[in-house]
Amino acid sequence: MYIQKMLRWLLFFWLAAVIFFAFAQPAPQQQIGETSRIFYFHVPCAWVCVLAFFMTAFFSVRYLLKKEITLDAKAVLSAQLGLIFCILATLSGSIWARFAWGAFWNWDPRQTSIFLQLLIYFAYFSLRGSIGETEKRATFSAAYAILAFLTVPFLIFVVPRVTASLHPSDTVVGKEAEFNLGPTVRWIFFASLAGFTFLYYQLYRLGARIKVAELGRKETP
Amino acid sequence: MPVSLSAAGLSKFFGDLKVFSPLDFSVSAGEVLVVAGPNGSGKSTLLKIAAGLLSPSSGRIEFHDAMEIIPKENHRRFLYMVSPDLSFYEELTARENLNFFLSLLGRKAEKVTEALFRVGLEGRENDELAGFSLGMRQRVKYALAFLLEPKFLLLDEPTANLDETGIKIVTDLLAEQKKRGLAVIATNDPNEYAWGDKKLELGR
Amino acid sequence: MSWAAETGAILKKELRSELRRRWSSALLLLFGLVTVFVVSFSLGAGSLTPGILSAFFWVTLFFASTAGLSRSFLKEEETKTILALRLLAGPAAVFWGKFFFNLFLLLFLELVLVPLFFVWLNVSGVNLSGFILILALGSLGLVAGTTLSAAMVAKAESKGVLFVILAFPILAPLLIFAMAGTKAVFAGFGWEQMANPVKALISYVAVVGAGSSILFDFIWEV
Repeated sequence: MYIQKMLRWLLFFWLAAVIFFAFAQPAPQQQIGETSRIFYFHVPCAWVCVLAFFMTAFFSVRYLLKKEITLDAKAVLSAQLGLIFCILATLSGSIWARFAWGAFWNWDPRQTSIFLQLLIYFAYFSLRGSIGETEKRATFSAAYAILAFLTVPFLIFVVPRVTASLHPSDTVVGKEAEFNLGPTVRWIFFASLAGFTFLYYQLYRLGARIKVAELGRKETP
Repeated sequence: MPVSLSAAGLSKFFGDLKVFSPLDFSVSAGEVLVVAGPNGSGKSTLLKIAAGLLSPSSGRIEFHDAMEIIPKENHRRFLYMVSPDLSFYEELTARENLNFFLSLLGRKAEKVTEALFRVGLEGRENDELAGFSLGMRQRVKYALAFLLEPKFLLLDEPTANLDETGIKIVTDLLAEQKKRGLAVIATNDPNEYAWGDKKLELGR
Repeated sequence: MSWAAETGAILKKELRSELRRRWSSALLLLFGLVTVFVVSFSLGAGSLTPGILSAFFWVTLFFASTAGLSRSFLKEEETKTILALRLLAGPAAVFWGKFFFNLFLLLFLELVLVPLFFVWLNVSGVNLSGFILILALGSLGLVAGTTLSAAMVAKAESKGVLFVILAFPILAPLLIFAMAGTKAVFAGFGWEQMANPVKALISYVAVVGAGSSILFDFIWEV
């Protein structure tokens, strides 16, 4: 318990420090300018969005193999968290696009990908909403999550190669990602990435405790 | 090769609603188990669980062949169920329906005419089921039972929609089934309780 | 090969039912024809860019698919034949039987639609074998990406628009690849510019087809 509390404070100061340095240091990308600071927050959000969906698919596979209802609850929880980060990544990205590309929405392949990721979450929750029976709901949504997860690599890696993209990860950072980022930028970025990942983990832990407690209460009336 | 069926701690809930409490029962080769009880006591649900169409909330039901448990993916080769909830294809003829289900199990269709004759549908083999009465459709399902010769036969409301000659078909089938394997019947009709060697009363 | 024989039995049954009642083909054809008709008379022929042409083509196929490809599962559920099928059929045979049946339906639609599309929208001078390759891969992908969703929607309580909601995100990458491919074809490009979309389509069909067929076993059990 004590360690958990310490970890939560550590997370708080860690993210506070990330935010401080993200603004105190010079902008990470000179060509793009001041708006490129969003890089420190937007990319970790998108990363957590994919990570959370990976965890949903992971728990879904385990559910299908073991049929334990707590695994289903964990898959849903991870999807709920993923949806929040997905919305954050979409919003931060489109605000940046307004200033860098001139419009909030351009249907750049990267925007298309994150929009489709949002639709996948939407479909996942719609499917769950339309099935009353517990086992059927858990099985169907698990199968859907896994199938949808199989298409994610296509969205992230293949779509931008088939259609042209203006996204910095394809144009500015590109294949020589490591050479274009200075050491300070790299430090802040990876600190932020770690902080966001840990934030997801903390939220997940808390949520999982609540869900398991709820399920336990239902089973012993 | 003696077959048997056993259930242990079998229960079913729909959400918070209890259908039946943990049940324990077994049926040996040559026996017919009658499952009785009022409407809503879970007779059909129990048969559907046995057929693998629903999963139990707790406990398990096992089918044995020569002391070996039959794995679930092979149940379809050993088990058959006649139930009002289970329909054949209306747009296909009686013969096409039977041929189709036989071919799913890799079985030959030589005896289809004979089976349809046994259930009193001679002359209607090549008519679509859409033109059949409920009783006639029930007879087609029994024709498949004669063709499949399952080791395990499940009958839900076996005489629903059947006239007297139809009921004769069911009793003939059960007599054959006792030699071949075992049967479980879910029924409300006290006349049919006598068909069983054992009785399981639900809803009490 | 019992699996092949059982799959064949399901496919034969589906085709026979379809020939007698036309549950799905009528819907598919209606959607496909109406869309192509509306597009071509409202925009006229000859003025469309390759990008727009290929987008219209795949949007038409997508909507026709979402209208027609879920029918065969829905019908089994509505007429209660699904339980007889679950009692006596193996999941692999059902999945592949429905898969090939839906592929047949889609090919039938394309047989009618493609010539009309070419004539009404005045498409000419394309690499026909390239077009057929992308069409074939795209159709396989459409079927691979919808069969599992169709099976789930049939068993869900509120069906409504659920099929489109479920199918679209799964099919989106496929539609993007297929559109990129046919765009290159309509622009008169050669094989070189089609290589990337073709590779992407092949991997999509393999991944989603294999994934769906494995996941179907779990869906079938509950």
